[in-house]
Amino acid sequence: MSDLLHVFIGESRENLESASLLLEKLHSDGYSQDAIDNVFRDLHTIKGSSDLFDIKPLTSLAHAAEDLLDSLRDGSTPLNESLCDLLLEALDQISNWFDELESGSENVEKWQPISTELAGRIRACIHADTDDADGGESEQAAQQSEASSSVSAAPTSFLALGSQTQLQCIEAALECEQPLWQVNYTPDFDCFFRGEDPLTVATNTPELIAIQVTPSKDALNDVFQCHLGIVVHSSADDTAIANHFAYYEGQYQRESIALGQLVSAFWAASEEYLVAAEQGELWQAYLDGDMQHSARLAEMVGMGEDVTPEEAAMCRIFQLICQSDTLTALLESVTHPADNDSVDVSADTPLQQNQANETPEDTGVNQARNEILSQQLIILQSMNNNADSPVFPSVKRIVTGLLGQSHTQGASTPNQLANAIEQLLNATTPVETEDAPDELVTPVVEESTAAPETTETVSETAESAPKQERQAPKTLKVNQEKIDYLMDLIGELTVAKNSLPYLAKQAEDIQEGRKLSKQIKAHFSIVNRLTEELQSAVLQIRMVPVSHVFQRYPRLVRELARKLNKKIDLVMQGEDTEFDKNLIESLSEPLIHLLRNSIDHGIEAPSDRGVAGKSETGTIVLSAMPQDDNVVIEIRDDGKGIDAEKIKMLAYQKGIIQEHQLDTLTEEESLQLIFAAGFSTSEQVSDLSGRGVGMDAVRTMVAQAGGTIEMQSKVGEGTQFKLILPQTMSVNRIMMFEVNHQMFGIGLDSVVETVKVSQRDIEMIRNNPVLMLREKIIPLHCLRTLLQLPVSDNESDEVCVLVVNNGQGDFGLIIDKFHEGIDVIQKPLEGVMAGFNHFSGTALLGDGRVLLIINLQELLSCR
Amino acid sequence: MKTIMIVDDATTVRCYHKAIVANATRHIEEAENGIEALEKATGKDIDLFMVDVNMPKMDGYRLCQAIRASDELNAVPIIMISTESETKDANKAFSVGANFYLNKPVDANELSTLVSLMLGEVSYE
Repeated sequence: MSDLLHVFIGESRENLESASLLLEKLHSDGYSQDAIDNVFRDLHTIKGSSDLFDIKPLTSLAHAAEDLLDSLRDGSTPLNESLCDLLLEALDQISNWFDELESGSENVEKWQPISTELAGRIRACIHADTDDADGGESEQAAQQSEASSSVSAAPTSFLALGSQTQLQCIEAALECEQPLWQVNYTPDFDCFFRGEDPLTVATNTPELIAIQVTPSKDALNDVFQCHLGIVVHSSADDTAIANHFAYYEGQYQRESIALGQLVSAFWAASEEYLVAAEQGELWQAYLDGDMQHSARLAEMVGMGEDVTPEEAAMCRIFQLICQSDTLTALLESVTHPADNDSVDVSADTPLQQNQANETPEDTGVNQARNEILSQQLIILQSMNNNADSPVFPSVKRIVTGLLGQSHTQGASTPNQLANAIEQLLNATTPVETEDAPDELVTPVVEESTAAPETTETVSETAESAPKQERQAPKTLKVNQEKIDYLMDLIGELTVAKNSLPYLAKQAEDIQEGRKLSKQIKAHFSIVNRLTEELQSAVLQIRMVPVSHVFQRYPRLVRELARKLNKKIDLVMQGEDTEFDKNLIESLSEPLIHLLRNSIDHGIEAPSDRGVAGKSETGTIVLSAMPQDDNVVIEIRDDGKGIDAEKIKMLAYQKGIIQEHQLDTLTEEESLQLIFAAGFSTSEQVSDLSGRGVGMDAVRTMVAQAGGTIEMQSKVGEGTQFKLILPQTMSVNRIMMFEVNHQMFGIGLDSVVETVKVSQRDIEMIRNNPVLMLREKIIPLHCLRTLLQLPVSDNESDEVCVLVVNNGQGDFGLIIDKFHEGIDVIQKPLEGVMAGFNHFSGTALLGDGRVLLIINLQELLSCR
Repeated sequence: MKTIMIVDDATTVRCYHKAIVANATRHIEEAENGIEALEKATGKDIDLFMVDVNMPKMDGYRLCQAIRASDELNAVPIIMISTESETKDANKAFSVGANFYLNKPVDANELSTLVSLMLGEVSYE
């Protein structure tokens, strides 16, 4: 992938993000000119830049969206929710394409259908509304002007129809000279259960012309579900169609096919036949311009005995076309698009218009134009030495635009073009030359003083805030790989630094080494401090606010809530809490899962909430806050909560727990069962929240990020998930200790305290050893037993107890000896070691030894 | 050393244009909008502006007017590069003082020839 494409994708992603944020805002806060302007600009930038890469589907989709925004901007199309959703859909699609581009996909052609479809829907929104506004007459005028420029081809979905149906549609539409509506009606799968009858709906379409029903591939899987695609064609007007399908909003899309498009489709299908019909007599009559005669001929040919029904239809349509001036003009433009173009340009030539009614106001522009022309002339003349080379297209376009087609026709070399300019300049040397410069200058001064004010207004508006952030002057974009590499280097530095204390220790042992040892230690403290500062500085680079991930959620919540007909408020707190970028990205998935769970299973339907005495709108609070070296992310809902008894029973039915555990498990422990693999609380699996791999997967993902997840729930009051994650992932502070002369490590943040107690202080409760520590009972576990190490016979009276907290309470681990804390880079276990769950990883010590790091959660669960 | 100022709010487009016109004898300045361009241009000897039309804060037309109104910059040639390809857009660009008007996406060959001509690096005769 080229560097430029990288830049493009990076930039466009920012544009997409900013645009979708603004659309969200538009959605919730209503119309705002600034916001629309900014979204427009974002899309404009994407479109403009995508031009450079020849990614046609992307460009055309961005273009359609831009046009819609333009019509929103000038007020000709009113803003509404479905438009916002449509635009968001387009943004998502573009973003998906970027993903594909980034993954090295080159085949952009296959995006074309999606692009055409989406762009068509977007454009339909623009058209639909202008059609509403204009009366019938101006509509026809618009169609005529459309015809006279260039007739666009009919949508591919229409061309894909059978020729019989196509002709039928064309005939009906041309007969009443009304544009054709194509409605793609895809009934929801569960529409039968709502008492809907898609086929009746389709057949009762007003002014129905044709109907085509296609069962989708998996139609036979479930006879109670509707798997149909229905395409309906109708010549009814816009409002009649909208009214008819009003109850099926979201299940249909409609598309207007203009007369011009129909004529062009007709021509594509029947050109061969018509030109040859009656030994070419029919076509000759048409070419001669004798419309009445050709209409009669067409009628006659169509009535003939050996014509197929299709051919008869072609003749009837041709007859219709010949009888109507509008349609004849349309067919003309289809058969001779080139002629029409040139006519158009000459009619549009600004020069001719200018000359026709040249007012004093125009002279400023004219003067400027002449100056430009003189300059172009010099440039063109400079190309004299290679006079045969073709003129640059844009130069020709501009000069042609300024001079008028007539002057430049046939001029294809710089020389010829230059001559044309020279002629013109000599002919129209303006008389008012002296006045002209003043007029040029005056507006300039006004405008430039006005300019700074405008910037102030822009910066004051809240909508432009994300844009502003992006344009913050002192930011530097760095490839993330570089920072990751820096991070790795610092990790190695940390390990290298750790070897200094070992050296100091060795120095102590040799003679006269005390002094050396002291010096090494002094140096170590300096290196240590520098490394720590360096480390935290680099970590700062990778820190991004959690809003980075959070900002995607309001939309998710809104969409899901709408799908489920629930009312939900998402409250976000502490969005500016900073977090390691890698971690934050790994968090996105589990958070979506948890949110979905809350929306799907947690929050009740509005009616149920009313019965339970709660407000109809459920609230989900998503908050992030720093806590020591961790970040705590909380998802709290005020839904129906989780019933521990129900969980226990389900877990038993699914064989996750044994029968005897039904009585012994506490409520707390039962709730934790939802994290077990293969567990789903919903009796019926819904398409929103997975199939019961959910919570298990969430826990695994959080654990991979080095964090823990806690859950609390009260029936009727709501559920709370708490994710505790390290702020950074690469360097861990570890406490070392010794068991059976072997070193182990444990995350320092789970260590509560270290105590040395006498053997006598250990008491037994129900055969389990416990320690009374400051009037608190702490259950004890012998690490040696847990790790199945041989029991040593070294029975001293003093016992070392490492008090740790695993998130559910304090435990004591009996070990042999405490060692110091150390910073290490934790590496995951690989190869044959990967199966040992009770170790979370390994770390390299300064003296080259490998330290095994204990995974507290797993260790206690396998006791 | 000639200095060219590229004004466009799209980084991609700036990179592209820069790649076309940059060489050892030219210094390239970049700006994301009209305001930034004017700020960066003051006190510097700019030899050519390449200006996008649609930009936030201050668009290309207003930038052109401001350049023409400024004592320091009014003689600097301006190439306007726009996505709009209609004649009226070109006319508007010329009326506010642009010297040349190109459509996006620009042809690399064309832009580079044009720039060397406008900088006077290639003699007219």
